[in-house]
Amino acid sequence: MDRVWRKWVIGSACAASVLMMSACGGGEEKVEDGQVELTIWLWKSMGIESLIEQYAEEHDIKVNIQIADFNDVHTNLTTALAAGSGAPDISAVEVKGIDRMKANPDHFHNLFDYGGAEAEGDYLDWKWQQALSIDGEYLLGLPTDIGPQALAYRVDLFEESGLPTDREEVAEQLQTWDDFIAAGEIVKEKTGKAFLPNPGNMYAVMEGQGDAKYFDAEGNIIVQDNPAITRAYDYAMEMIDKGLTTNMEDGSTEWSAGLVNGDFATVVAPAWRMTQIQESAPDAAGLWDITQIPEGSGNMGGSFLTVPKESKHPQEAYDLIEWVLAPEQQLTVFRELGNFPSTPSVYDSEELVNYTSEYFNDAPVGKIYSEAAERVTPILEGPESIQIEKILGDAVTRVQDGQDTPESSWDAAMKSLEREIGR
Amino acid sequence: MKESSVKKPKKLLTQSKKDHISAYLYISPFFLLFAVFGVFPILFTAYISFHKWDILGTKEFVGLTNYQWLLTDPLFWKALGNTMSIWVMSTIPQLTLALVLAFVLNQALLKGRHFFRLAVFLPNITSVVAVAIVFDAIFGQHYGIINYLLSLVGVEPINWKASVLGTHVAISTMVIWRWVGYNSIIYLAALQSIPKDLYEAATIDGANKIQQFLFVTIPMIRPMIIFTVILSTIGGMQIFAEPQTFSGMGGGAVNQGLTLTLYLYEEAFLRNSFGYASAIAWLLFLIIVLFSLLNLFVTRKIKSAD
Amino acid sequence: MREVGSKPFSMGRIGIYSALVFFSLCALFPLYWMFVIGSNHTSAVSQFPPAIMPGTEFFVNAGKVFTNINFLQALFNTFIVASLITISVLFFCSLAGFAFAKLKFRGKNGLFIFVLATMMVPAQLGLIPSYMIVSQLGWINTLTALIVPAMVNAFGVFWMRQYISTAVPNELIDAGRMDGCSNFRLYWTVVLPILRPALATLGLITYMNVWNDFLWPLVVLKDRSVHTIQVALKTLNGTYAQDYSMVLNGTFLATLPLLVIFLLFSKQVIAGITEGAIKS
Repeated sequence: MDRVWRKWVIGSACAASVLMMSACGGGEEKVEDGQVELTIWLWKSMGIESLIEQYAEEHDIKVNIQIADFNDVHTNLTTALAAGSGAPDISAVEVKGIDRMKANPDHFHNLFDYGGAEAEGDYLDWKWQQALSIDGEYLLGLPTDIGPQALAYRVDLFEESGLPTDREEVAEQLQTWDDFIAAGEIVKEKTGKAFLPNPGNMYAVMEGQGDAKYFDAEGNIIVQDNPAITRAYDYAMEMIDKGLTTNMEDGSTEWSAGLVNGDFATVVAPAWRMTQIQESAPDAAGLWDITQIPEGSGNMGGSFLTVPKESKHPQEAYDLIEWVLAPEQQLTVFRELGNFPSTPSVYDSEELVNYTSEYFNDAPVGKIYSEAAERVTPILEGPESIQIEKILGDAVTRVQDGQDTPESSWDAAMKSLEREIGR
Repeated sequence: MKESSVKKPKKLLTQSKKDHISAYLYISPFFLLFAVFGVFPILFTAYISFHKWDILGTKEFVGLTNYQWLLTDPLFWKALGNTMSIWVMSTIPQLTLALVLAFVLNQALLKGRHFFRLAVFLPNITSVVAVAIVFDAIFGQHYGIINYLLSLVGVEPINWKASVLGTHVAISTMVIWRWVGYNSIIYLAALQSIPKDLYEAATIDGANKIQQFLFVTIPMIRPMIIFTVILSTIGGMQIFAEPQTFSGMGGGAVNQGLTLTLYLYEEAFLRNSFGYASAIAWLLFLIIVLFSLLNLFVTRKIKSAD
Repeated sequence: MREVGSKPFSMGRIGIYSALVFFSLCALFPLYWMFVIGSNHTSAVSQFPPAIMPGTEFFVNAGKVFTNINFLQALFNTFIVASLITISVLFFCSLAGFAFAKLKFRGKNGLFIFVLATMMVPAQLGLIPSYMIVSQLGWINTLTALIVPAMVNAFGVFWMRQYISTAVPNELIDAGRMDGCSNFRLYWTVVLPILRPALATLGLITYMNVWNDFLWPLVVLKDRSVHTIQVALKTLNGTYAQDYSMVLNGTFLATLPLLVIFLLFSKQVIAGITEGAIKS
């Protein structure tokens, strides 16, 4: 028995070392002489892989697309930039990620040096601003999709409550957030259901509907003096107080169940949330419709393609992303995956205007979201926006969860904010 | 060990020399590897902890400022409290259960040992990612399995995620679920080394199973108990994946799931405050050392009480 | 459950079996549930009352897993990494454990405490400096970056030292020395055979840890061709929407090989128990 055991160990050690050698040798593929190879970091469902491959083939370059989880792409990029090695030629970065990079733009190639200025006209102005460094000298990336906000509503619950169900009429009825709360009260009274999955869902969009959000034009933090924020907070508190929200977190499994069972009558939905709703709650097909949200729109999410400084082929990389993110290609991605284009020139195209979603009660979502996109007021997000957003969002959640009162929760948030800025 | 060398003074010199050479040789792989991959990260972290560094920009020397901040940082103390609470709630039941389970599974007459052994170890095989999804569904407020079961006996649904206690219970359950089988496998291996005649002698002396467990098994596997206690201390203090997946960013709205490692990870990779994160790492390290020593002391005490 | 009777079919015995069955069910449930969701449509994850019956979509979901990631390649990579690390850990850790437990040398206690202390350094912060070293060595995107740093670990040394100090009687060492054994022969012929249950357990634990590790692999392995199974599975995560059925199906499939490994290793542990059973 002992001998068998030892033989087994030695035998597998030999076998394993042979395997290791073959495995380590096999990793590198040969690149033809003179052919440019670009390494590209993306996350799943950006929908541009096949476009990149098509471009590479047409331009005789080699691409190595490396897919990772959304958060991991950002962590890996930070790690690689900090260590000074291992960054790709092109990396996708989400809008909040790019805000954090703005303090150190020199980790990226300035795309103005490779022809970026010419692309400006293709993109929505507010989206373009997000890609610029604070002084506007540096272009960190080109825009991919955007997340303009609209409102998904449950037709059956609206009907049961005696509210209009036609999307034009719903938008008419819900012109202000006061209207919104009033409608919520009706739904609550008639059906016993909530109006929103969680108060943060409304709060997050209201916060950004003023002229500024957390920062003024000079980059100073203005949270406490910004009436849009205090108003958003008060309205969220009112919703909670009147029992018009549940505590189902966006994207959670409970939320998915709530979508199907009709636990809430509306969801504030950026364009990409259509896919999220559709995939999380296939059983709710035909039950939801889409219209505009009260008091303008807003944006949530959306990304950029950047060219980290380490890239030895910035021109080739820029040319590739410029083509991949050009209006026609964005339209292709929209058609295949529903990621909403950041290029207004395609908003009038037949394809977008006539695009309807069967899941959302045949709503012309192409048209609805392009209207929403043009209603977005540009605001400066600022480098610390993730932390601030989290602090304020937590303040709302604490009250929803019954862990704190509106006043003391707000005070606690202001204290955290002070700490956050103070260091 | 000491006794044996005293017994044979004749061979002491040459044997001692040989022992030194082989011993240093045998332990060298660990230290070599550590020198290459372990020392630099530790020193680097120490160095960075005296700086203000946002990872991508330039470093600025700030002396002990990070540590001063840390001591007055309410989040740090909250994270420390959460870590302790989850650690206590998970470690004690986990090790006790594991020990009893190992003893039972080691009974020669037990039928179906194979199956039970595989079953209790299964949780450790399952990847954390899947565990998170599953436990999310188990502890959901509206559609969770536990609340469903509670509703059958008329208990109001509990919002596990929102409260401090609920979150700690849920996370501890995940930890216990995942590590009981693991620890019992460790104990089981140790039980193999107990000579069977000790039990036989105990049986002849009229000891029942419980007495055998208390007076033969536990003293005999004391080194392994120390091992598991220290490891669960280290593991518990560094708990990360469970709170991250269960409570999300910041450990939730009242930071109910914010543990020390989660805090340091978010400081480093979310706020890019690498200097501050390094200071947390060092303080955490000191806390772990302190608690391991404390545990060692307590476990030693148990022995001398016997 | 705590009443352990020695007579067959006593109340205590029934109690023990019911407790064991209860534990086993608790332990098995999440794995079973992974299978249930993995064989249903994604919406099953949020059904109420919860879904408990397997569905018919298992192969559809498995198909999605296979088109999204290079499953077999990732499995193969993981197998190589886990096997190499396990073999190396068993050898180096038992050797070092032997030295710490049974050999007398200067600085032993200090060095041992140092070994323990290295376990207490939080791993998360090591990511960036470790990445720097590994990239200096040119190991980014190679399996070497996973294997070499893990070839011997403090956990294993600690474990082996503790085990050897209880399981290997000093008399046996002395007897071996009387016969003129060198230290290495002592280790190889006297100590190692006694360590079989400990080796099997350490092997099992090491294998599982490597198999399920993702924090470090995620940072160093970006290329599809070198992904380990956990890294590959993680790329299944959607950004905006989660296909839980696909993710859990993939995780379930990735767990199956581990069951085989477990049975292989636990045979070694059980061999010891059976011997004891025969004896009594």
